[in-house]
Amino acid sequence: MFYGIMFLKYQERIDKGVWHMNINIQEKWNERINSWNVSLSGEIDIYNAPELKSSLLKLIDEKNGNIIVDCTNLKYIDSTGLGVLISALRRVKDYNGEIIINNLQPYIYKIFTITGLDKVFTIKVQE
Amino acid sequence: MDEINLKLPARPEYMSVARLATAAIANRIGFNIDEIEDLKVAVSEAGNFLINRYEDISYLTIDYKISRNRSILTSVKASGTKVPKGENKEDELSLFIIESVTDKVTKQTEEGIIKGFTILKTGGGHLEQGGSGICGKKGKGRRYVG
Repeated sequence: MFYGIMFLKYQERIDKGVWHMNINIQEKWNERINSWNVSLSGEIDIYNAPELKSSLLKLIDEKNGNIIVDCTNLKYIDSTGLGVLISALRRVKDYNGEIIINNLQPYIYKIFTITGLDKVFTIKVQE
Repeated sequence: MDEINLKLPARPEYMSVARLATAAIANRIGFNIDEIEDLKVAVSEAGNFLINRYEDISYLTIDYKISRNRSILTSVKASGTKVPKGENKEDELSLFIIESVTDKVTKQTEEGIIKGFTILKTGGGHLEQGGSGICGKKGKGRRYVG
């Protein structure tokens, strides 16, 4: 019974989006603004960055639009995660699109500023 | 001086364990939230660098030496056989981040090959509202006062 409930909860998480250990990625196409809305929660690190990369590149291949990333619940990103965002940005720039990063936590924004990526991405920080 | 030693399999899935332990230790000696984040990021990036750069590393050893003046000297070192994978574009980013968020970082090299890092981070400051920096570095809204 207990394991059955646990499995259902796990399945529910999978159904909501890509669930990979410490990270949850949800995506939705917004036709009105020609953009992908991507919501990230958890931690992006060397372990799950490849998962994020394949998800983002799949979206870009599916429809060429801007990518709006909501980071309200993003707790951590490392250099491999930044590398994924940079490679996605290169692909998006090919069709003159952009990646907009919203609701970034101030301590994560710091990583963007020290690496100069705050000038590469359009970023909005959480108050 | 207190010492804490951590030995982890050098695999990506264990980097979150290194971050958790680092955060707990930094919190234990009274680092503020931004200082905790800085050390956590530095240790994680040091691990990333070593895992990305070498094939066949068995373990990462992370040794913390805690001083009475609220500073932590952290050594992150790869153990086992090291076969270089070659240059990785994220290595430079890792090094840059480590240097930016710590007080001092020293590369542990043998015959010109980086085999680990020694990272010094001193805490004990407090955050003051309305300044021009955040966490002792660039940012907005808060300023670090050591």
